[in-house]
Parts: sequence; structure tokens; C-alpha cells
Amino acid sequence: MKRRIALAAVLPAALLLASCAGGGAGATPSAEASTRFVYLSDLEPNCFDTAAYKNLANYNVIRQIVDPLVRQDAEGTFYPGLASAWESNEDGTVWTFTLRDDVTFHDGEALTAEAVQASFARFVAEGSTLSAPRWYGSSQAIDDQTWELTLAQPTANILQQLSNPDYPVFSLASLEEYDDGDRCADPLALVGTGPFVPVEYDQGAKLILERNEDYEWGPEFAEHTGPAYLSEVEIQFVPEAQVRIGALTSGSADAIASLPPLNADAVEGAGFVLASAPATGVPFVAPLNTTDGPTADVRVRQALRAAVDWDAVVETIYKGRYDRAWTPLAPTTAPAGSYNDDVEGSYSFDVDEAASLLAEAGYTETDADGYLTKDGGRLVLRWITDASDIRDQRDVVAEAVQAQAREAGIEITIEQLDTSAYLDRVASSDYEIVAESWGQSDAAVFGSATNPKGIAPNGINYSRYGDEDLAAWVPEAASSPDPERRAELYRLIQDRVNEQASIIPIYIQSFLVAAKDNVSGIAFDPVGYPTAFYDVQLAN
Amino acid sequence: MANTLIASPPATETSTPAQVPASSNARLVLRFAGARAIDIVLVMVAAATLSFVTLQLMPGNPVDTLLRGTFEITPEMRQDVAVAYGLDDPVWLQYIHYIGGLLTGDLGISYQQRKPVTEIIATALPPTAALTGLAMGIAIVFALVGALVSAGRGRVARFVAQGLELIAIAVPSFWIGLILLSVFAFTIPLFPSTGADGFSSLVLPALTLSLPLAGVLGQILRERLDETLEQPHTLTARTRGASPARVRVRHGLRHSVIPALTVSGAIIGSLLVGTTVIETLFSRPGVGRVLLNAVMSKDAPVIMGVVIFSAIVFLIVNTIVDVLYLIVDPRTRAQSEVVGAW
Repeated sequence: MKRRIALAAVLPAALLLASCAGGGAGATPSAEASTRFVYLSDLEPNCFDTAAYKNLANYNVIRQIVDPLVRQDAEGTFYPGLASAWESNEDGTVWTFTLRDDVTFHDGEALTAEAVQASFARFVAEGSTLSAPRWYGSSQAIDDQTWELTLAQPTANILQQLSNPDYPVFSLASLEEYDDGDRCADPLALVGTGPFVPVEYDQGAKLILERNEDYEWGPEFAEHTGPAYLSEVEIQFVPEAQVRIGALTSGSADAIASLPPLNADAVEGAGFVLASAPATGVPFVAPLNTTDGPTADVRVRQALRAAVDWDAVVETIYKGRYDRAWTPLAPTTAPAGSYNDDVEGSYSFDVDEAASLLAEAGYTETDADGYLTKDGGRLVLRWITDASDIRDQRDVVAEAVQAQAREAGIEITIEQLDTSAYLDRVASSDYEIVAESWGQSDAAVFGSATNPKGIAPNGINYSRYGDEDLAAWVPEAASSPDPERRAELYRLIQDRVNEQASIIPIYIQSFLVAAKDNVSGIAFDPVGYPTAFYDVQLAN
Repeated sequence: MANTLIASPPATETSTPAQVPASSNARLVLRFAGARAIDIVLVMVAAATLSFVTLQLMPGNPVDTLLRGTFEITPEMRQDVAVAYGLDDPVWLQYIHYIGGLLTGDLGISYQQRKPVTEIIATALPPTAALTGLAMGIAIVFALVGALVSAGRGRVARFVAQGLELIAIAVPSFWIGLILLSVFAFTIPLFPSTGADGFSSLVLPALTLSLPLAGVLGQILRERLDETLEQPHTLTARTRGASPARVRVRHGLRHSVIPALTVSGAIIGSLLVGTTVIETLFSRPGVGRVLLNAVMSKDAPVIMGVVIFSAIVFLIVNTIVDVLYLIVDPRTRAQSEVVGAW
């Protein structure tokens, strides 16, 4: 009896000890002293609400603050997010999501289907400045944890769409307290469920995030569970690359975004670590105008493609940090098998080939400046660019192509325009060459770029090319529930684009992050953006 | 318009300030203020009209800009966006709405940030004001010291001063800024490289912004000072036994300051644009960066707001300059309507 009492007294103490030891051994850095992470971003969001305006700048921020309904890993597989399970009806038009029941927003409110519904209702509210996505039909909360989405049309990549930050879920209280304007202008008005909570925003300078201590619903594919390792993240908005590099090398920043490939060797050589992931979607490509101007002739398009040594251009400018692209679809883009590797090597740098194609197209004379002419008119291709979207030395790429085309007797003029003037020229088909990249973790975006129904300004088909096959393939690829069929169609579309030389692929960008050597765990989202600080750790 | 008052300083040195009874002083000041208030309204409407017309003439449809980043665009989406931003109204109606709003202090809503333009400018103003204020202060000190030390000191001093001024003017501020950053932020971490946290983050950008200004002001001051020191009235002062320092400051500088003031007025107006480069380089919030972002994304309400705001600042600064003329140079008081107020 006595012994039993003694045992009873000892047991809890032993358990306590064991649990202490366990806590000590598995000590997650999050339990340790505060860790502050200073990250220098090149882009400051104009608008923080990704429902209103979508770009790399606000994706980077909002991924820390909100969780998507569904998560997609770098391989393109889907995992639970705020929804623990989902199913669709037979034709894929009605989707039912079961929400996790243990999730709370930063303001303490529990996640309910009502909050999800209210977050989606923003898109169709009276007087809303948000544009509802084309696939959105209607939606409703079935009960507290069940939300149903009805699509206006079958959409093959609906899960990928919902894994984007484009449809953020906010707490009901915050949706009432703030309007869309507040959420756009002030990140503190974004009350999500994510691993970090925005606490201070100094426009034009920085945003401070604090760890969400209650966070237990991180991605299954993350390296750890529970709250983030970092107790605080300070994102500073530093547009100048050289200033970011200086801040990193002088020790005032832990990591910097958008390291120019030109500086990569030097920064690596100085003992810093680089992290990157290749982008998905449409890599940096040059759509050629297939309906107006000299490039309406397929021979001119093929001649331009043959006249430039694309390998050399990409290698010279990006120092081996980026791969040259062969087709307007990045190799790692879902659905698996969409990338058409038959296209690789199907054309080559061949000045003679370019000359004979141009001769066939009627450019037989040469003027005093060495440019080819046809009926007395010089072969001039106008390359228009959006000056506000120049990054990654893409202006230098244009100049390198210009220099090489000159050797083949093609004059390229480069026009830098403001966004509005640029889009106007695109809409009115007043150009020969444009260049764009469209990141998305599903080949659907490549479909949009080749969709005969999406010719600018009704979409992003900037090559303006269309034929009957594409008119059938693109919609089928966008709506088919069968990933293999989709992949097959995307391969066919790439073959057609390649034959027509309607889009010249240039390079596959990857987003370079440089960090101190004690930083680990910088994760990239499926689009290739470094958007998750959840797993980031600072070693001592 | 503001400077015509003093465009040609009177040649005579003998005129005395008119004597006006104190009671009419207040009235004159009021009249002066009233006239300036009307000026401001006129300038605002003129600036708004001009920028509205310019933006209308520029190519491009704001709806396209607002939908950039959307991969699939339907005509209904375009229509929705147009309605949401009042872009479906005829242009004349948009203009009337805008001017109407302007007169009640409403500059519209930013397309990109979706918040009131007045709020955007009000938030961006303090850091820009601090930056330009300190830069102007530093420039004036540099220019005064440079001019006083080098004027009338022979060829070597002039050569050195001229050289420094030319370098300050000719070297792009972007480059000066990078040098200052790499020395005083990265190599010797005395000051932060980014942000707008207190005085220490203001030092490097203000210094960068001030150097070209100091160059221009210094040049003007020194040349005028050189000239003035040759004038008979300086000789007179010397013969009366005034010390060299007193001759320079009390007699020489007073004459030299007037053209420098005129230039300063113009400079402060143009600083708003000058800060764009500095604010970007040093990652500071401010009006210059707001303008840059707005121009890049054709955020018309913000562009117009900044243009109108700059016009007002320009007018106010020049009013202050006009008043300063009266203080510095008694000769101008006789000609001015505000004579009695001073």
C-alpha cells in the first residue's frame, strides 16, 4: 500500500520529467528566443488584396498571411489547406469542400463555411470593383464546415486556381469591419489564418509580420508542424538590386529577393547561399504578331527564330543561371506530361536558313544600311515593351536579339511604353514583337496564351494566332477532367506553335534568392515564387 | 506669375519704404492672402484641366490597365470594371465630376491602391517634406560656406570652388547615392541603407539630394559675391572701417542672395521630381515614389493629384520667396503692394 502510494507520487513526477526531456530534445526553434528575419523584397504591392490585383508583389506577402482552401506542392500534387477534403459531381461542375474544424483566424474567430462564402461573395457584391473569375457560377455554405462551389463551366484546373492566393479567405468580422479599399491599401486589414500576422506597415518602406502562435494547420509537405520557426519577419521594400546586395553583404539583411543573375557568382563566392526554383507556366517568350505586319508571313517568323543564337543570348546575359526555353511552356508545369520535349532541338541557329526564308518571303534587296528590303520597303520589326514590367535584364535581351537580327538584315526597333500605351498597342495589333512571361502552376495559362478566343484585348493571346484545331484543343484542355488527355492536348498545341513560329520561346526564369549561410528552409510555391517563410530557420 | 513682382529690382538705391498707417496693414495682408487664395484655386483648376486633357490624349484605355494580370477577359468583365470606376461616363462628364470633386477637396480614388488620392499624398508627404527640407538646409549651408570662403580669394580658390560645384551638379545623384551607401551604410555601417525610421535614415538621402542643389546655389552665390565685392559701395564700406567678414556677410551676401532665392523657389518645385530617384534608391516612402508608381501603371487619379499638389506647392513656395525678397532687399518694398505689411 505504501509502495503504491509512493509509486503514485513518483509517476507524475517521472512523466513530467519525461515530458520535459521530450520538450528539450525536440525543441523546435520556435520555442526558443525570438528570431527575427529581415527579407529585402524588390517589389512593394500597390494593392495587397490578391482578389483585386494579382502580381508577384502581393503574392509574396499574402502567402504568409492567408491559407488557401487547397494546397499544391512543387510537384503539382494537391493537399488539404483550409479544406480537409473535397469532391465533385460527375461532370466537375459542383465542388463540395469540407473545412477543417480546428482553424482560427488571426482575430480568434473560428473558420466556418460562412466566412469562406462571405470571402467569395466579395467578387459578386453590388458595386464591387473585384472581377469574378470566369469559372465562378455560385457558391453557398451548406453547414458550418461544408462549402459548395458551382462552376459556370467545367474547369480542369479549378483546384490549382483555388490553391492560388487569388481567392483569399478572411474572417467574417474583418470582412464587415474593412472594405475592399482598406484591404487593398493596408495589409493590416487582411485578417487571415496564415502562419504570420501583419502587425506594422510603413508604406514605401517595410511590413512587419509576427508569428501566429496558434498555427497548427501548416502544409503537409512542409518540413515541420506547428507555428513557424521565425518569431518575426520584416519585409523591406528595396527596389534597387545593388542596394539589396549591399545590405546583404554588410549584414543588415538575412535574405534578399531577385538577385540579378549577373551578380550571382560574386554573391555566392562571398559565402552567401542561393536558392531558386524554376518558374512554371509560360516562360519568358516573344509572341510574334501573326495577323499584321511582316510577321504575318510565317517565313519571316521562322527566319527571325533562325537568325538569333538563342543559346548564346541566354548564356551571355544570365550566366548559366537560367535555362534557354524551347517551347512556351515551362518543363515542370502541371499536368504532368504537358511539356513537349520533341520540340527541343527542332530548330537551330542558322543564318543561311534565315536568309533563304526571307528571300522566299520576297526580301531580296539590301539597302544602304545593310537591311533587307521588299518592294523598296525595309524589313522592320517593332518590339514593344511595357517599361514598368522590365525586370531580369529583359531589356538587354531585346537589345541582344536586335543586334543579332541586324546581322541577318532584319531591323528590330525597341519601343519602351508605359503600361497603358503598351496594352493599347497590343489591343490594336500595332506591333510585330512583344515579350511576356505568365507564371501559373498549370498549363491552362499556356492555353490562354494560344487561345483563338483570347486574342488581345480579350485575353493574353498576343501572337493573335488561331486555327480550327486550336479552337477545339484549347477549350478541351481547359475543361477536360482527364489530366492525361489535357497533357496530350498541350503537347499538340506546342507542336502547332512550333510549326507556326507564332511564339518564340526565350528563357525559363527562376527566382533567385540570396541569403546568409545560416538561413535554411526558404520554400518556393508551385509557380516558382519564394513565398513561404513558414519553414525558414536561422542557425546560430 | 509669382516672380513678376521682383523680376527687375529697381536701379535706384534711394527709395525709402512708404509709410502706411498700422490699421491698413492688416487690410493689405488680408488682400494679399485673398489674392493668393484665388491664385491657388485658379492654378488648381488649370493644373487639373491640363493633366486631365493630357491623360485623355495619351494612348490606352484604363480598363486594360486595371485588368492587367487577368488571363481571360470577357466583355462583361471589361464593362463591370468600366462601371466600377466611372469610366463608362462620357469624357466631359468625367471632367465635370473631377473638377467638382477637386473644389470640395476630393481628388478621387486611386485605380491601383483603391484609396483616396488625398490620403495617399498626405501619407507620402511627411517623409518627402523632411527629405527636401533637410536637403535644402544642407545645400544652403554648403553653398553659403563655399561662397563666403572662396569669393574674391584669387584664382586658385575660385578654381577649386568652381570644380567642386561642377562635380556636384554634373554627377548623377543616383551615382552619388550609391557611393554614399556603399561607404556609410555598407562598409562603415553608420547609417541605415533603407527605410524612413528617424533622423539617421534621413542623412544619406538628404545629403545625396542636396549636393546638386548646393552646386547650383553655390555657383550663383559665389559669382554674385565676386561681383558685389568689386562694387563701389563695398569699397565705401571698407573705407568706413568695416571688417572683411562684415563686408562679406552684411554687404556682399545681401546682394548675392536675391538671385539665389529666385532659383531656390524653382528648385523646391522641381525637387518633387528629384526625390523620385532618391526615394527609390534609398527605399524611402514619399511623393516621388507615389508619382513613379502611378505613372508606370497609369493610375490617372494619382498622377493628376500629384500634379495639382505640386502646382500648389510651387505657388506657396514662390509666395514665400516673394515675401523673403521684401525682407532681404528693402529696395523692393517700395514697389510692392504689400509694402506696409513689412
